[in-house]
Amino acid sequence: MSPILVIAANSFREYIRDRVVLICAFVAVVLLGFSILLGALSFAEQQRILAHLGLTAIHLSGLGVVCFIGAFTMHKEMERQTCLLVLARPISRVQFLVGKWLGVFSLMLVMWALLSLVLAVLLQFAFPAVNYFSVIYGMLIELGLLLAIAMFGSTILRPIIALLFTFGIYLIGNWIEEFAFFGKKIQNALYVALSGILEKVIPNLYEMNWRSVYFLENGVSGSQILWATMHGIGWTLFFLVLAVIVFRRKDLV
Amino acid sequence: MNSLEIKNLRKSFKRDLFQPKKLVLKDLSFSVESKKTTGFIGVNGAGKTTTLKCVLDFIRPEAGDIRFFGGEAISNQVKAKIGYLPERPYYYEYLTAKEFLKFHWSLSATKEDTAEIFEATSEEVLTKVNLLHAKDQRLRSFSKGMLQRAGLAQAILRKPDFLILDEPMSGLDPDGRILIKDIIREEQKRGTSIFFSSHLLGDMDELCDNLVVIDQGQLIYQGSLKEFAKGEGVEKSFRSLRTQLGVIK
Repeated sequence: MSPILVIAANSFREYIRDRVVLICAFVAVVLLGFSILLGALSFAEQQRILAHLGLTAIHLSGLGVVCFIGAFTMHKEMERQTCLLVLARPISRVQFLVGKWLGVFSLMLVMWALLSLVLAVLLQFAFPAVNYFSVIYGMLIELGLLLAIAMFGSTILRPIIALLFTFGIYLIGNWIEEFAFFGKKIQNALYVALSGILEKVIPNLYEMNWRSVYFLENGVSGSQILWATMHGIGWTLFFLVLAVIVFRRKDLV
Repeated sequence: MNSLEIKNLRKSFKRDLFQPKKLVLKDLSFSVESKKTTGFIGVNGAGKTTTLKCVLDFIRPEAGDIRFFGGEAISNQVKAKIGYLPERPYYYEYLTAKEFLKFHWSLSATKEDTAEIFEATSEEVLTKVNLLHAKDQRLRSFSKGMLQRAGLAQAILRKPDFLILDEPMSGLDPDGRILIKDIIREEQKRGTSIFFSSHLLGDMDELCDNLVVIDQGQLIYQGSLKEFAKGEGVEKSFRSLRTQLGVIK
């Protein structure tokens, strides 16, 4: 097995035994349960409410993993010096960091797959499979990118700051279209310029956000999926490369 | 041939943004002879751990040259021949002792590896460090001594040519120290080059062929232990040296 996969498998095992994952999964299950209850209150809208809250639950559990594991992982390795023994072995810092990303991403992937399956069963497969898969696929791309941002943050910042940094990018990335919209509406040159800059330096997460009943019913176009995939992978690689550059130069004192 | 050769190593650290850099290693040069055991002595803050971290590329020196096995720079090939035990035994605590060894075994995998070889080697190593009974226990439940022994087990797992041990005996009870010393002696018989730091000067007397002594990031002595100890023991000679330096009366 390649060293990257060895580290990924080890990280996966590390976090699957971590209480944080259990808490994230628990929150998702509670939210799913809550969505069933809420859906039961309204006969006509039952499925729509269940779908909406269910997708939010899956998304929040992934976001929990990103924020509470991704934003802490590299800092924890350096602070506790657990990475020293690993880096004394014939592996590079690049392999180590990519392995850690892959490990946490695999954990998210498993949670995402299981919760998506549970939601599909709860929805009794009411929506076309392609539409449903497209919607949850968008979530996965976004979470993979946010994880890379969190890991980059954790190589240079304290965990809490890295968490806030990631969450900040998450919020701005999701509101980026609104920023541009308001900029045009109020016709303030400074606001327009600022939203233009944000569009260039912050990944556009809004374009990956298909977590609504509209997309479950109408689907996501192929070009949108392709754009989100390229955009997501591109930004993920960008932040991973940044993280690698920082981590390679770092003194592990 | 030398297993390790360090030339003019220089490293400084900044404690915080507004303080000037403090020079920790000042053009440090020394070598570690192959198939010999070399002790690394210095008081707290002398720069021992920083030197070892520079050697293993955890810390990037500002100047200097570090070569292994007669001239090779650090690389994955070189790292595959080195076993390392850090000063503080912080490992992945959720792993059991056996999983911990398996992880390190897999990180330096070779084409010849098989599950049977790992099973046999891990049992052998765990027996050596007296942890076979705890092989399925998580490291989280280990005492400091057990963690130190688990760390040593991973260091000798791949039968390295060169062992670098940072304070291998610190925090151990007498039984633990005897065990670690026995393992070091076994490795000496196997022909392993060993370089270890310790504050326990009596252990140096027992185990080392050579000594490297540093103070405030500078080399004070390098050579044979016999020459240093002059028949009086390392501790007494070290005391005389510190007196000469004017540090103690």
